[in-house]
Amino acid sequence: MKNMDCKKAQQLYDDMTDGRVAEPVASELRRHLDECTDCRVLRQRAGRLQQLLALKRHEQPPPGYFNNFTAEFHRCLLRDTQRPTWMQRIAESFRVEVTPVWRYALAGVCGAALAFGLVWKISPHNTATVAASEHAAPVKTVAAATPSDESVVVSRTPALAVMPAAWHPDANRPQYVLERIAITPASYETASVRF
Amino acid sequence: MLRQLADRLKPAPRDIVPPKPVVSEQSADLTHEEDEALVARAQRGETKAFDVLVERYKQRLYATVYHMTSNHEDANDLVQDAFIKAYKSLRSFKGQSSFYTWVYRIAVNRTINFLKRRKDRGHFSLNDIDASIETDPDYVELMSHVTPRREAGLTELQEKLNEAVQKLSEEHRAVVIMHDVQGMTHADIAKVMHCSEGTVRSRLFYARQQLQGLLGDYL
Repeated sequence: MKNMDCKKAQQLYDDMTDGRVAEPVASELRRHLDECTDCRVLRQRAGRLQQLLALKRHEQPPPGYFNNFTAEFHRCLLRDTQRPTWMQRIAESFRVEVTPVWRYALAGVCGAALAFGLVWKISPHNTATVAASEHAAPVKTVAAATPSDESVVVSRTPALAVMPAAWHPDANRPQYVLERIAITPASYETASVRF
Repeated sequence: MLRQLADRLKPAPRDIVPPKPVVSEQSADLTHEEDEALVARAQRGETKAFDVLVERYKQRLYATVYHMTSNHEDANDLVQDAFIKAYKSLRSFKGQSSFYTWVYRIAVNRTINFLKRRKDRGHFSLNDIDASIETDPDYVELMSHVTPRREAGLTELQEKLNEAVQKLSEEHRAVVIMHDVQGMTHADIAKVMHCSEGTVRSRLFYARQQLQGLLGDYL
């Protein structure tokens, strides 16, 4: 019960200092402080702490510190109103700044890409790759290289046209290299003449 | 007879009302006006009215923010920032609290956010102590209890005091500064901090306990 009273006294002491405690309670509080040594010591220390903290009021800026405050406020306000909003900032972050230096760099990159593409196109490695791809999908390559009568028939038939290449009736038919050569070998002609 | 009739029919000369002098915005003395009137003027676009409010409260706001940050450059920036925020939000101010409470709340909230973001707590930029401290009864009484351990110079005492205050949490610091340094009541602090008076008392109690531990040599 005594502890409870001490806690209440500590809480009420501030209000009593501010003159916000009615007289019966204030006199009771004073009586408690007279009787309770612990509370009295605590109050003395708290009082000294408040005195110490109150000394901070003497920390003052130099004279004339606030003379330009309002003018500075207007400058800051102007700067703040000219600052772009967050929406504008997001839009700005997506915009590419095309300065002359960037233009030259961009042109250089495009030229390099074009040159690389040309070299790639004519390089033997590229032709080897194409040959490999022809080997991997012989039907498609043959159809594109020599538009024979068979390929025309395939494209004219609607039912076959929509079928996957693997399901085509000619898909499993073996393909020969000589089929892709339009001319008949001369050796055969001469042989036929001789006979 | 005819002349009398003609005199009667003449239009009676009207009372000449002098036109009201047009009081320009520049010449109007706004410094004596109440906050509510100045806020109403500022909401209508009179920047001079807001300037008067800035002039009226800049030092008090600065003092609170300075004691919370222990850095006078930060305090200046934060108070400027608070006034800019208040000016831009002036249209949304409905007058549910006084202008002072409202702008004070803006400044304290911005300071608390700033302190939470700031990592370097020990970066002080303290103002000088004015000469009037020598005649302050609190100072005189404190010095009358000086023991050898407490024989510190005024500058050292100021640094210790600021160090101890900076060790408090932002909310506890704000309450201690507003109550023990600025002398605000619990009710006013509760309005500024948007909390109950009980919360203010509780924060004050724990903040003082912590400070008593930190400043034990000086008590």
